[in-house]
Amino acid sequence: MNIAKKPRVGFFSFASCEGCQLAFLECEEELPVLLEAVEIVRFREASSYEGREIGGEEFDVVFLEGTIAREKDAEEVRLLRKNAKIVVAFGACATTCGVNAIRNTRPLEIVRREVYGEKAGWYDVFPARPVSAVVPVDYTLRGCPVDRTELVKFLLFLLRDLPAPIPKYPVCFECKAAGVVCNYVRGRTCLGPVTTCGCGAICTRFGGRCEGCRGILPDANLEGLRYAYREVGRSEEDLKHDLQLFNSFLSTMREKVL
Amino acid sequence: MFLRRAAGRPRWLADGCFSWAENESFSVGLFVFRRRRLELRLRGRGEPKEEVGKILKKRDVISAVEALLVHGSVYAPVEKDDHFVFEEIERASDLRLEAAQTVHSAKGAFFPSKDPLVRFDLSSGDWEELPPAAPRFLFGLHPCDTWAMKAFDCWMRDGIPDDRYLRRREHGVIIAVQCLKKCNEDSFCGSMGTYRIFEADVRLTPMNNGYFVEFETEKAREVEEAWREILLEATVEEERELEEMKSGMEDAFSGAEVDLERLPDDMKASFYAPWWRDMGKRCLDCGQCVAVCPTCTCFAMIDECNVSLTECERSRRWDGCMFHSFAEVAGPHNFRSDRCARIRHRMNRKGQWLNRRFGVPFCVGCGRCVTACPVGISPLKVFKRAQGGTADV
Repeated sequence: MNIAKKPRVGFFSFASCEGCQLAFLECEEELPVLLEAVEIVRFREASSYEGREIGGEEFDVVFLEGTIAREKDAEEVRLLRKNAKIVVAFGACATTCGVNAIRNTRPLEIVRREVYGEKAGWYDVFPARPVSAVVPVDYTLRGCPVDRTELVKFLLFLLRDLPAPIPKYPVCFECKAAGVVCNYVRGRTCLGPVTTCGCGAICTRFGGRCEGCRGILPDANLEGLRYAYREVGRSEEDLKHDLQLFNSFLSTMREKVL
Repeated sequence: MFLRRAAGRPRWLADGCFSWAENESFSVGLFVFRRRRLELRLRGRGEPKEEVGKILKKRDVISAVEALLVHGSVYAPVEKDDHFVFEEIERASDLRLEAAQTVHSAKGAFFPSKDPLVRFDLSSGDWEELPPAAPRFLFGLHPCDTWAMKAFDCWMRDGIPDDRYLRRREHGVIIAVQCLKKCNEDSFCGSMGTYRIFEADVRLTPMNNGYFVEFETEKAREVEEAWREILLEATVEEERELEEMKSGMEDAFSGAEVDLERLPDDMKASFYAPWWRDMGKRCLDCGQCVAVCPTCTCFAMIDECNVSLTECERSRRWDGCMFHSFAEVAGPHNFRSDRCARIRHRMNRKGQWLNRRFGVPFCVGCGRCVTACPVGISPLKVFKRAQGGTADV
């Protein structure tokens, strides 16, 4: 390792289930080595300490998990961006806005009243957005939750100051390389053809279908996917519904997608 | 006669598709001649063998696989999610020899989707090669797969021979099963002229209650030895039945829709045709066609280190020309950033460039990519369109 001083790392969580931080903590075999290589400054999930306000600490790397759902979060993220050399968006909520973006499909007032009832006025929220919609992000680690092996691999590249490899092809290829029978061949639909790979096709390998948690590829052919849905007798509504789960942000914010 | 019939046809069609006059009498004297004829028709080339044919009864198939498992691993079609895939089998009863077609091709036996090559120590610089493990017996390959194996060999032997592939290939014993009809509506082996077994160590031809077995090569000795107790001698009736099967087979694959001789030229002529654009609009670049294709050979190299950065493993994994990142270079520049250019590139590799270079078809018409493609892109439709057809691709 060519870094003289241990890099200072912080983990921060916004609107999310915090499962991606758990995924990091589950890297039990690798943790001793990783912890020797870095100094973890902030990691509330892994600490008995209840946390404190984000202040003016300096970081080498910050991992931001979760969706930005209110102005207070956005301010904190901006502050972290200022104080950190590298910002990593960590997990589906932070990268594609994930399931939190489903909220954006309905008027915010109705959603707030539904969740908080009479106390709706106490909470100030705005439409959910990924970290990248608030500040520039250096790296994105996709998935709900993030893939453990990918995470460790990414950290290794980061520690060596090398550009981390970014997967650019669809889940389908990993799925076929693993010897799985295609969902489309079995008459089912799947978002594998348009979803960024890197997960090792974990859902389809165990009999499920790809839900698109790792986000739609930048050059994905959604027009073609619509055709594929029609081929197995499913409608455009079904496609919209499937894309809504993890890729709502695309449809609510980017009109061109659907 | 053989040469005259073969003249002017592509090289891969020159083998054994001639029929003899059907007027032999039933005299005993002609029996040997008839057997010679039979042998010639079966194998299409080479010296006819005078020995009596062997039959593997259907009820003995499982014990035949058990006999093979004693000698080494067996890679064969097994059932998975109501479909068939090639896998190394654990129990002989898992074999599904009657499988119409596997979703994936058999290329994974000699060209695994991820193949660790070497392991090296980052501090000392020492390295060791990881042995290329491979199945010993490939059981149940279809004729298209044997043609694909030939294509694969051509490619891997070209230039600097791919030592790893070839070591696996030489180690493997191929037991192929002749098809008597098309596997499904997606396959078009009849059009590609790949419906007869090209090369195999052991050939099986399905009959009503078993398989007619022929041992072809030195490597087949081991199988012959293993099956010594299991095989039965073919009776005259069974040989007659085999003949009928064979002649029926030619009819089942007749009606070729592609002119193979003209195909490379036609593909070249239609390189700038507007219909590629329509297909590019539909293609998802999911790369499933590449993964299931028995003749797709592209790979990428990756290095993976352990977490303490002391040991590293270099492996190769499948890659495919359908991906945006495939032809991306420094700059960043991309030679085929357009989806339409990528699918056109793939089709031309299957229908034009490699056929010309090696003289064997690089699309063997198995139709696996057609089945796998979520948007129904088919090389057959492309080839027909390139040859003046008007149907949508």
